[in-house]
Amino acid sequence: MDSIPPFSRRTFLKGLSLAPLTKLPAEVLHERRHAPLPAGEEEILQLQVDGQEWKGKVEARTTLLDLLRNRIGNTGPKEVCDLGACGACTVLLNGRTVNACMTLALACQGATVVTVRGIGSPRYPHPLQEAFVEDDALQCGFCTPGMILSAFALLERNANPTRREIQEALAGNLCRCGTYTRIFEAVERAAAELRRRRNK
Amino acid sequence: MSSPNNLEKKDEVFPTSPPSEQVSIRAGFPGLSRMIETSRRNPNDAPPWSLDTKFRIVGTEVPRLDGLAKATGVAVYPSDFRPPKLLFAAILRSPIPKGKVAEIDISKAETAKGVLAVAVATNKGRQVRYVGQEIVAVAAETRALAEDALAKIKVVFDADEAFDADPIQKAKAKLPEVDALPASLAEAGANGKEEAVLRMAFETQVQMHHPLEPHGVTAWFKPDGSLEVWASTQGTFMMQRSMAQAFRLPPSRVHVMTPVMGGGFGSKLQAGIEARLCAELAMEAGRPVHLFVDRRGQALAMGNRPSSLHWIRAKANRQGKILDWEAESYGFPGFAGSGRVAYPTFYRGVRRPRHRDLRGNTGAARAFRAPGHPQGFFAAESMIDELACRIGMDPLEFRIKNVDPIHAMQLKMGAKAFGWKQRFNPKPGRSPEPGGPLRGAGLACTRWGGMGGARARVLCRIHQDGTVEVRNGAQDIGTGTRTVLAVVTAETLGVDIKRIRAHIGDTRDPAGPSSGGSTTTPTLAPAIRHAAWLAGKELLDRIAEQKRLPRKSLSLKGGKILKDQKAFLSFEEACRLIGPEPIEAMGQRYRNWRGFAGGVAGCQFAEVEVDPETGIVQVKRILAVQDCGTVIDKKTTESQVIGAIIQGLSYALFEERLLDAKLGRVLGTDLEHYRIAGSMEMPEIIPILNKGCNGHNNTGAAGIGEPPTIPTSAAIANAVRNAIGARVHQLPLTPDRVLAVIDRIHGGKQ
Ligand code: FES
Ligand code: FES
Repeated sequence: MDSIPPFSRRTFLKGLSLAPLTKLPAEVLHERRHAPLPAGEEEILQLQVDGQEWKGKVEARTTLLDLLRNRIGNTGPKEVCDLGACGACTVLLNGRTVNACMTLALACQGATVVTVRGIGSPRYPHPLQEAFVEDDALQCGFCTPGMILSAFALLERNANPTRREIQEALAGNLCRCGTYTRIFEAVERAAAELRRRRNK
Repeated sequence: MSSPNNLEKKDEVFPTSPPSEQVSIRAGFPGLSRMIETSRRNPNDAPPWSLDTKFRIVGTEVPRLDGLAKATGVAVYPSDFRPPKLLFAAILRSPIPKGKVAEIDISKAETAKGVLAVAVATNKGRQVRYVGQEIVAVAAETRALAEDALAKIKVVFDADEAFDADPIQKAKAKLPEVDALPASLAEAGANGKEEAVLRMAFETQVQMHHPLEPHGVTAWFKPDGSLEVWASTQGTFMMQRSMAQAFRLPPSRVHVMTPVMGGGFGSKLQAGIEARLCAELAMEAGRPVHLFVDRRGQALAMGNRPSSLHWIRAKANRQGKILDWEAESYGFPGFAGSGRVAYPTFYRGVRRPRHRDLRGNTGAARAFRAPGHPQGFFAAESMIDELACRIGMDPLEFRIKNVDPIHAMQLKMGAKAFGWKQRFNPKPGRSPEPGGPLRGAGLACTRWGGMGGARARVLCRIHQDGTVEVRNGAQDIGTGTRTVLAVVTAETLGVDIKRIRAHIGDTRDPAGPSSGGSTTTPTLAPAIRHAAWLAGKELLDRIAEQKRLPRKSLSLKGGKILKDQKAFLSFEEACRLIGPEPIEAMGQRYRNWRGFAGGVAGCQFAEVEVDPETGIVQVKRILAVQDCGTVIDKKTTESQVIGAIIQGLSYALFEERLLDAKLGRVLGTDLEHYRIAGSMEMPEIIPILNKGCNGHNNTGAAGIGEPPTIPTSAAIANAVRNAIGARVHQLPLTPDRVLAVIDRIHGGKQ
C-alpha cells in the first residue's frame, strides 16, 4: 500500500515527448509541458478521501488535484503552480505526501487520500492546526494546508525533529507571505504537544 | 485644556456627555513624546487613545480570528468557490511582443466540445504590446476542455520587429561616468581622506508578485440582471466600481465577496481584464464562470516590481556630513505602469533623483509592496554606506549623525539588541580562519506613510443575547483585518473578544478602503472604535430608559454597567434589556489630525556569511526595529514585519525575472525557474515593535505591511560589503555577482 503511484503526471508527460526538449529555453519547455494533455478514455475510479468513499468516471488526464477540487469539492488542497513546484496541493496518498497536481487521478485507484480537512476540523483541530493558529504561522493562509500536511508527514516519522529537519521537510512548500520562521515554531510546538499526549 | 484622565485607567469609562471640545493626548514613543491637540474638528468622535492608555486587549497576542478556518481547509477562498453549474475559463495569450492581430478565427473553438462562451480580448486590428497579452478567453465545462478549445483558435499576427523588451541597455549608455571599481582590497577600503567623493551606479531587477492564489474571479449574472463576483482582490469596493462601470450597472447591482484571499502584494489593486472577461463569458453562457489566471499568465501579465538603474554622485566630509548629493534614476515598468523610485530623504543631505521611466514591450508594472522604495533605498542606502566606509566612519555612527530623532532612537535601540559592535567586521574582506567564510554586518533605514484616512464606515450591532456584531466590507489580504475589527471593538466596549462577531469582505456592508499603501488598519481602526463607542452609548441610553434612571448615573466600564460608579448590571444582563431590535451604530472615519510624525520609521540590521569559494551569501540574522503606531494585535503585526523581511531577503538574494530580449520573452514563468526564498534559506528574524501612538486618529494605529520590506535588501547588501570588502552594485546578490567582486579585489585568491 505504502508506495508511490505507479506513474505520475510528469512521467506521463515524459512518455509523450519531453525527452528531446530538455535543451530548450525554460519558457519553451514550460509551454510544452503545460500544453493540455490529450483527452482520453474515461474509467471508473474508486478511492477514499478523508474517510469517505468516492466513485465516479474519470478521464485519464484528470489530476488528483483537479478531482479533489472540482469533482469532490474539497477546499483543502490549493492550486498554485499546477506543476509540482510549490507544494500548495500537498495531500497524503496512502500515508505519503504527494503533489496532487502531479498525480494522475487514475493512479489512485483504491487509494486512501487525506487532505488537511481530514486530519482535523475547526471543532476538533489537530495539534498542528492549533499550533499554526497560536504561533500565527499563516497570513493569507493559501500555503497553509500544504505546509501542515508536510509537517504532519514529518511528525509521523520523526516525533522530535530538529529545526534543520523541519526546514528540510518543508523545503518543497512555498510561502509567499513569508511565514516560514513562525511555521518552524508551530511545528516544534505541535511536536511537543503530540509527544506529551503520547506519553500520557 | 482638559485632561482626558478617564483614559489613564485600565478600563475605559464611558462619559455621560460627549468628550470635551478639545482633548490633548500624549503621542510619540516612550521617551520621545509630546502633547497633541486632537478633537477640535470632530467633537463627536470617540475619545482618542494615547501613549498613556492602558489597554486590556489591544497590543496583546490575540490569535487571528480566521486562523483555524484557514488551517483546517474549510475557509473558502474565491478560487475555491464552486457554485452550481460552474464553468471554467482559460486564456489564450500573445506569443509576440509587438504587432497587431491580423486575423482571428474563433469559430472552431465556439463549437468545440463543452464550450459555452468565447470572448475576444484583443480584436482584429488591435495592438499587441507584450508577450502574454490576453487575446481570447473561453469558458467550458472543465478547464481541460477550455484549454482544448484554445488550441482550436486561429490567430494571425502582424508582428512588428521594432520592439524593445529591455530598454535598460539604452539607459545604461546614457548614464554619466562612474568611478573605476576598486581593484584591490586596499583600494576598496581606501579611507582616511578628508573628504570622500564618489560616483556610483546601481541596478535592481524585475521582481514578480506571484501571490499564491492566482488573480481572478468567479462571476455570474443573476436572473434579475445583477452581477455576483467572488474576487481574489485587494479592494472589494474598487472591484465593485470597476465592474459596475464595465457592465453599465449601478454599483448597487454588483455584489463582490472576498471573505478570505490568498495574497496580492499590490498586484490585486485593480480589476484586471481577467475579471471583465470572466463576467463577459458568464453573461454569454448564462452560467457562473471561474476564471483564475494560470501561473504563466501570472508571470507575464499580472504585474511586477519594475527594474531600476541609478547613478549617484555624493560627497561627505570626515565629520560624517553629507555635503553633496546628486542622482539620476531610470525605471523600466514595461508597456505601462510606473517605475518611479523613492530615496530616503530623511537623511540630511540626501535628495531625490531626477527620474525617467523608459517603456518597453513586456507586461506592465503594478504596485508592489512599497512601490519604488526597495529599489531606491537599495541604491541610496548603499551609497550612504559606502560614504561611511570611505571616510573611515562606522556606518551606524554615520547614519545616527544624519537622521531625525526617531530614526536615531531606533538605530541605537536596534544596534544594542543586535550587538552591532561585536558583529560589524572591522577588517572587511578578511576571515579569521584562512579560507573560511567571510562575515559581516550591515544596516539600513526605512520610512513609509501608512496613516490611512480614506472615508470608511463601520457598523456595530449589540444584540439581545450579548453578542456584538461588527461589519465592514473591506478585505483581508493576510494582515488580519477581521482580528483588528474584533480587538478594537472588544477594547472599546470592555467586553471579552469571544462576544464579537467580525464580518468583512462583502460589499453589502459599509464601505472600507482598498488594501494598498498600508492603510487598511489605520483607516478602519478609528471607525471601528467610533462605532463601538456609539453603540455603547446607546446601550446606556436604553437601560436608562428601561430602568427609568437618570442617564447621567450610568456608565460602562470593563464590560459592566455601573450605576453611580458601583456595579449594577453585567453586559449580558444589560443586553437582555435592550429588546428585540439590536442596537445599531455606524462609526465613521474622521480626517487625520497632525500627529506626532508623518509616517512610520524603522531600521534593520543584517548579519551575513559569504563563502569566498562559491560566492553564496547566507543571511544569518535580521533584526528589525519598526514603528507600528498603536499595536492592535501583537502576533499579526509581528507576522507582517517578518513576512516583509522574508520578501525583502528573497528580493535581495534570489528573485529576478530573466528576459530573452531578442525574442521579447520572459524566461522562467513557473515557480521552478523563478526562485523565491524557501524554508532552507531562512535566517533568524527578530522583529522589535517600536510601540508608540502616532496621534493621527482616535486609536493611534498605523499601517505596517510595507515599511519593513523597504530596507532589507539594502541592509543585506551592506552586510555583504562589510564581509567581502567591496560592494556589489546589482540586485539580486547572486553567487556569480558576489564572486566577481571577490575575485576582482582579491586578485583571484582569498
Ligand atoms: S500546485 Fe501542485 S505543487 Fe504547486
Ligand atoms: S501565508 Fe500566504 S502564502 Fe503562506
